[in-house]
Formats: sequence, C-alpha cells, structure tokens
Amino acid sequence: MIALFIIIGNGLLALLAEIFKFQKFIFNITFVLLLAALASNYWAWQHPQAFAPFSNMICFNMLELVLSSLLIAATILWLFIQRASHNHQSFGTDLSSLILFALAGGLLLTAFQNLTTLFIGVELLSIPLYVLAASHKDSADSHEAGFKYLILGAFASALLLFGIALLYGGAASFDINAIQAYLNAQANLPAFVKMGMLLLLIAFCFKVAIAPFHFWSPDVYEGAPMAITAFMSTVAKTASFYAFFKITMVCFNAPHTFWISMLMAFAVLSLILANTSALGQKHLKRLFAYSGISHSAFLLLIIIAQQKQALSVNALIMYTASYMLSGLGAFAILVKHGDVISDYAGFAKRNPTSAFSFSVCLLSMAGIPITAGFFSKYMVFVLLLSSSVSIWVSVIAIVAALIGIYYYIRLITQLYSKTAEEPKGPIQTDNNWIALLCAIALLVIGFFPQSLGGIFTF
Amino acid sequence: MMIPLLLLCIPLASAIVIWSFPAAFTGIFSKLFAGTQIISLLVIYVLHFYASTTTELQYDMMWFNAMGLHVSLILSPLSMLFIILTSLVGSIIVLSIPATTSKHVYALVFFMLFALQGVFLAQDGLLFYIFWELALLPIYFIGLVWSDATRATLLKFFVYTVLGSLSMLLGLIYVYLHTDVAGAHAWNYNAMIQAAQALQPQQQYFVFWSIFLAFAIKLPLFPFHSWQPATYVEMPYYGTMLLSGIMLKMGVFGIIHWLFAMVPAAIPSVQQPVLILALIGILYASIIAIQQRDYKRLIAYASMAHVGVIVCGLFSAHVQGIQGALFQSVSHGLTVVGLLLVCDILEHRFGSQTISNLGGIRNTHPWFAVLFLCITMGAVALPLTSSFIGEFLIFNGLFSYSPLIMGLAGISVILGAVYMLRSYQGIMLGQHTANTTATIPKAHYILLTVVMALIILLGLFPKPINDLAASAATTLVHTLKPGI
Repeated sequence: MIALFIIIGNGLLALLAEIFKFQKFIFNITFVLLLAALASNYWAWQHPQAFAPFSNMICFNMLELVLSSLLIAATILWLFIQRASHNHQSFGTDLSSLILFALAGGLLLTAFQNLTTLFIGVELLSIPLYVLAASHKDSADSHEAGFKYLILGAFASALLLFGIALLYGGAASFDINAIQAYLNAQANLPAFVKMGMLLLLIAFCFKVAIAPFHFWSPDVYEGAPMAITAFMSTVAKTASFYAFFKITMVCFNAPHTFWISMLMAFAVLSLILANTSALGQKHLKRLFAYSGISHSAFLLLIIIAQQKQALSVNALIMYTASYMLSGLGAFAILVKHGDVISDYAGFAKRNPTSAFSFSVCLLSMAGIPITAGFFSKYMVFVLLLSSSVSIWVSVIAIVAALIGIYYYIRLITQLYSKTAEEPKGPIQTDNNWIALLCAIALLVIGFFPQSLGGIFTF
Repeated sequence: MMIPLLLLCIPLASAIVIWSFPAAFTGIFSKLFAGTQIISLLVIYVLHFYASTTTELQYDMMWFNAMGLHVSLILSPLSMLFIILTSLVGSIIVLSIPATTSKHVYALVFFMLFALQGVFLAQDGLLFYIFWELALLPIYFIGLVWSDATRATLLKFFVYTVLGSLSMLLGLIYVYLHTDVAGAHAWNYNAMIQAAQALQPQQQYFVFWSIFLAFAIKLPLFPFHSWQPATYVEMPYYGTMLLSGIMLKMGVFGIIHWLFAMVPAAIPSVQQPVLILALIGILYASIIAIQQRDYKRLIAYASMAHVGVIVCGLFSAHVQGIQGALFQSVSHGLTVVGLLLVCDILEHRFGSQTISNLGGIRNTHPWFAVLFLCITMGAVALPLTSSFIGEFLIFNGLFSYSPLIMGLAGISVILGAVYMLRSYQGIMLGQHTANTTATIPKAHYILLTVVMALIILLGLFPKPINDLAASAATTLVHTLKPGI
C-alpha cells in the first residue's frame, strides 16, 4: 500500500521538477524512490496486516505484494534501459511523471477490490502510454502508433465500462467479492449479466493483445519509441494480465464457466496466429510484438486451466517474471543496436557479452532448460494437463512453443553467423550491463526455481 | 552418497575452470581433466564390484519443492555402462581436439559431458528431461560458431530434436499427473514406473509413442533421420564424435531405462512396427553408404545402419538382444570415434576426405594402415573385435523373435563389409594419389592405438562390459516379462 503512495508521490514530485527546475535530478530521485517502494513492500511482507483502506477499494495481500514488487523491479530495470537508448528522450518531467503514473495504474490493477478501481487503474495505465507512444515528434510512425493505440484503447475501455455497468445491474455492487457472491448464488444468470462478463473479458483481451483483438499490437509496438515499446510490452501487458487473472480467478469462478470455452478459442487462435506471423518478420520490434501475443496466450492458458491451488499463482509469478526479464533484456540490446534483423548478422563478433545476454534472453523466451522460461512453460503445461481441458489444447501449445523455438533459434543463429564483409559500426565492447543482469537473473532463477516458483503453498 | 554428484560435478567444474582461465592454460587443463574423466571411470568400475551398500550410489536433494522436483541421481549397472562409455569416449574426444581451438570449445565439450552424464544418472523424470535438452545446447553452439555448418542444417537439427523433446515432455507430464505418492504427484522414478504401468492399454500406447518420438529422432530411426547426414558431415570432427559416439546413446538409454520400464504392456504391440522401421533404416543407410564418395558422409550413414541394429536388439525384447544392444552401444561408440579420428587425419593431414582423391597411403604410413584396418574390422564386426560380441548377442535375441527379421538384419553385416572394405581399399591401397609427405602427429597415433586396443581387448575379454550389460538386461526383462 505504501508503495502505491510512494510512486504517486514520485510522479507528483516529477511534475514539480518542471516548475522548480530540478529536472537533472529526477532520474536519481525516481530510482531511489522506486527502491524505497520495493523496500516498503518487503516491510509489508514481514508485517502482514490485512487492511483494506478506502472502503474495500484496494487491498495489498501477500500475492499483490509479490506481483507489485515484480512490476516495480521491472520499472527500475526499465529506467536504465531508457537511459541507454541511443536517441533517447531525456528523463525529464514529461517522461518520468507519465511513466510513474502508468506504474501507479499498474499497481492499482494488481490490487483492486472494486470494479471502479479496476477502471481507474486501466485508464491510469493506458492514457500515459497513449501519449508516450506518440512522443517521438519527428516520426510519423510514432504519431500513427499513438493514434491507433488511443482509438483502440479507448474502445476497449468503453467495452470495459459497459461490462462493469451490466455487472452492476445484476449484482448491485461494484465490489468483486459481492459480485462473486451474487454469481455463486444465482442458478441461472440473466442474459445481460452474462453479456457484461463477456464484455469485461473481451476488453481485457484487447488490453493484453489476444487474438482476434491483437491487431493494434504489432503496429503500436513498431511505431512507438523503443524504450516505450519496452515498457508497454513488459510492464503494461503484465499489469493488465494481473487484473485479468484477478477478475477471472476471484470473481468469475465456478459454477458459471461458459466464458472459458470462449477464452480457450481465443488462446488457441492467438497461439497459431502469433507464431505463424512471427516467422516472417524482418523487424525485431514486430517480432517481439507477435511473440508477446504468444506469451499472453500462454498466460491465458493458466486462467483457462482454472486450478485453484497454489500452482496457478506460482505459475503466474514465474511466467510473468521470466517474461518481463527476458523482454527487458532483449530490449536492452535493441535500444542500442536498432531493430532491423539483418543488422544483427555477426553480432557476436562485435559484442560477445551482449550476444550472450541476448541469447540467454531468447532461450528463456523459447523455454529451453536451464533458464527461467523453461520452468514457466513447464508449470503451464502441468496446469493444463491436470485440468479438464482437452489434450488438444496442450498439443497446440506444444506446436506453438516449437514454432517459437524455431524463430528464436533462427535469431540466435543470425547473431553468431559469420559474415564475409566488415562488421557494421566500430568494434567496441558494449557495456550492456543491464542485458547481462537480466540474463544472469534468468539463469539464476532457472537454477533455483524454488525462489520464484514456490512462494505460495496454500 | 556423493559419488553420483561428484561424477556429475567433475565435468561441470572442468568446463568452468577452462572457461575462466586464460587461453594459455587450456592445453594443460584439457589434458588434466581428460585424465580425471579416465580416473573417475576406473574408480566407479571398481566400485561396482566392491560397493558395500547401494546407498553410496544414490543421491537425492530437494530442488523445486513446489513442483515436487528432486535432484535425484543413481548409479545402477545400466547407468554405469553408459557413464563408462561417456568418460572413455569423452576423454578421447577432448584429447583429439586440435590444439589451436579456442578454450570456449573445450568448455562447451566438458559442459556437454556434464549434461550427458546427467541424462544417464537422473532418477527423476523431469531432471532426465532437463539434462536431455541441456545436452543439445553445447553441440548447437559448437556447430554455430566453430564450424562451417549452414544455418539450415543447424536449425533443422535443433528444431527437429526439440520437437522430439517436447513430445517426450508431454508424455512424461501425462505420467506424472497419474502418479500418487501420499496424495501428491511425484517425479521420482519408482512412482513414475508404478503410475505408468497402472495405465489403461490405450493410454500406455499414447505414452509410448509420445516418449518414443524423442528417442526415434535422436538415434535416428528411419523416417526421422533426415537431420542426421548433413549435421554429421558439417560439424567439426569433435562435434560429430560427440553426436555419434555418446549423444545418440542417450536414446538407447532412454528406451531401456524409461520406456521399457514404464510401459511394458505396450511393447508387444509396438515391436513389429519399430523393428520394421529399424530394418528399413539399416538397409536404406547401408545401400546409400555403399554409394558414398565422401568418407565422412559414409561414416554418418554407417552409423545410422549400426544404430538400426542396436534398435533391433532392443526391441527383440529378449534378454540377449538387450544385452547385445547395450554392449554394442559401447562398441559402436569406440568404432565410430575411431573411424572419425581416421577421417580427421585424412582430411587435415592428407588433404581430402573424398575417397577418390586418396590412395596408396599404406605404402608411406604402414602403422596408420594397420590401425585403420583394425578399426575398420571393428566396424564390420569381425570376430575378435568388440562389435562381433554385440552383434552376435543381438542376432541371437532377434532370432528368438523372428528368424526372418534376423536374416534381413544380418544383411547389414554383408553390406557393412562392402562399404567399409571398399572405402579402405580406395583410401589405403592402390596407386599413390594422396599427399605422401604428410606427417601424422604422435598424439593421433596414440589415440588411434588406444581405440584399436580397446576394440580388440573388448573383443577378447568382453566380461567387464558384458557383466554390466547382462545385469541390466536381466533386471529389465524381469519387468518386461509380466507384460508379455
């Protein structure tokens, strides 16, 4: 809870930096305050007091503490990536305040207890990102990205609001526990309540870019400035997914499970579409957009499996942590070296350490032992197979994972290929310590999976 | 207690040490660590006869509590056989790497030996899978950075192998979800065997094929072999030796230790299709080998044919067939590494691996000719060589299943003689066309002599390996018999 206040306060401070002219210090202040937010989460973990301030609107229990810590840690890593990007915007008021408010929205999305807080969180996360996606003033692509994101995101928010209104019409409350009680109490749901649930879920599918609502994702990711794409594809998507998880697991659970087959169809469609589209990409931002859709589909499989034990939660933590780390590690390389795949031929000769970090991140995305990504995929498969979902969904997931492995390994092959011509650009060792840090973190989690994958044992 | 863990840690430590020290130390360290591999193999062999309790040969540690995953290792007679193969062939491979190679290659080779030994020691289903996939990474990077392998070859190799691995993961998780140890699922070996044997026949069939796909791709078995010739030819010699000498034996081990133990009831119904596939593979590979002009490619196809014979031995489901298959695994490891060493010398000292460009080497290098001939005889399975013991046992086992299949598999011996002897004749005998001033370094002579000595020694005194093979085969057939 305190972390949320710290982050909002940091955002307000960043706004004041414009007026009081301390923009030079805002990076360091943000870094320190985000670390303080992590520390406060750790303190709250040690002193669990279940308090639900603001009339049951937000509640930071153990799970929310872990999830919000993941988001904050990812943002800290992102700060350094943004600073290293080669035509970066200076970290002044505009960028810092918008990102911090977006992060605050993300925290609201993990900890909401009330559908209005959910809506506030969604808007607080998305609106700064609409602005930031268009923030590259010289680039028409950036303006197009921002515009597309705004229109489609606003449309998704409208669907969300309509769904919330319909649910309220049925349950007479915005509180998710009250709605869950209402849904459990009804033998047959009125049609408009079912409609409300479906609209809510579809709005979430827009936000996390699940097919067939994913069309905005590659274009927006490609047009936005590199660092912003890094933030969108990791932190923003993960935060939206935490809200998705909470709504479906806490609120919409049994006995009304008509929506699961719809989500299953979306997940299978995403897996097939995303992986086949990624095969032909020549630009890494688009490739990572499609691979991000594939990862969203895997995360959706956790929801579809509808298992109530600790396994679902552990799988969520493991998968989102490995997804964010590998995404940030990959973007740490992209911000310095650009996004055209053919530029990366022979990359390993110029920057062996960066090539190693990039390879580890790609291997983690592919799900190869002994990286964190392997255990994430494995936990998802165990969840799927132990549920009552048809085995064909697992088979399709495996085929999708295999296609993913193909294009990730093709990229690694490209990195290490021998080029006949002179390497592009000066041959210098690239001190990309952020990418190396992400790679080492992925390997450490892969060696000690209990650290992230075994936190909850209820 | 710690012995399996030590066995596993020594190659890993070797890899880390070689990687961290400057390149000047690589030569000394590689020889030192190859020596430790040989010492460890002798130690565990002695242990096999003098181990007082079996608890010394087991190791267990909790790793991922939430998923019930243990680091659980065991040194059974079966794993001892394969560890001996890995250490022996591995040290020969390390010593055969050209001295000018980067230290990263040595580190990757030792890392691969670590992963391979992990496969043979793992008692935990998921740990077996993790090591299985881990073994793929070093060989892929060796092929990527230190060879002229084309991207297409490497991608096909990697993706094809991972296809098999993922299918195996599906099967393993399926069995895992049917285990029941005190109300929870468990990955440990006994729980998985029990759960799998209790499945319905239809489910056992599904588990068999999904796990067998991984082994069929790895060995390779026809029709999953299309990745093999290109990969074997384009990899550097130490890479091909790792692939054919040790890595494909992971498939043999997996079939015996995991597949046969888990789904014995499915074996009778799958015997015939698998034996037919193996037979087609043997004949197809042998015929293509006869037509090869490139010696390395010929060795690749010959290896496929020999592996087909091993698979025939395994799926005869007869104690002698399985014993022969195990013995032949060791013997094939030695012969194929010997042949590849010879091919390495031919390419790098005599300038070519195309048979028509070579000839008459016997006149200038008589001792090389003798070594090459003995190793060739080993590949042909002449009596007095180790391969004869293995093949004889395999054919014995096959005969009790079906004399017809044994006859057809026996043709492989004749075809093998054709391509091996013809290539020997083209390379060593006849007119001088090869580079006659070539000098073969002493180190290569020593390695070849060691390989030849081992092939003949095992042919004359097969007891050391045969004992391990026999005890593994008899324990296995006891589990198979109730199913049959």
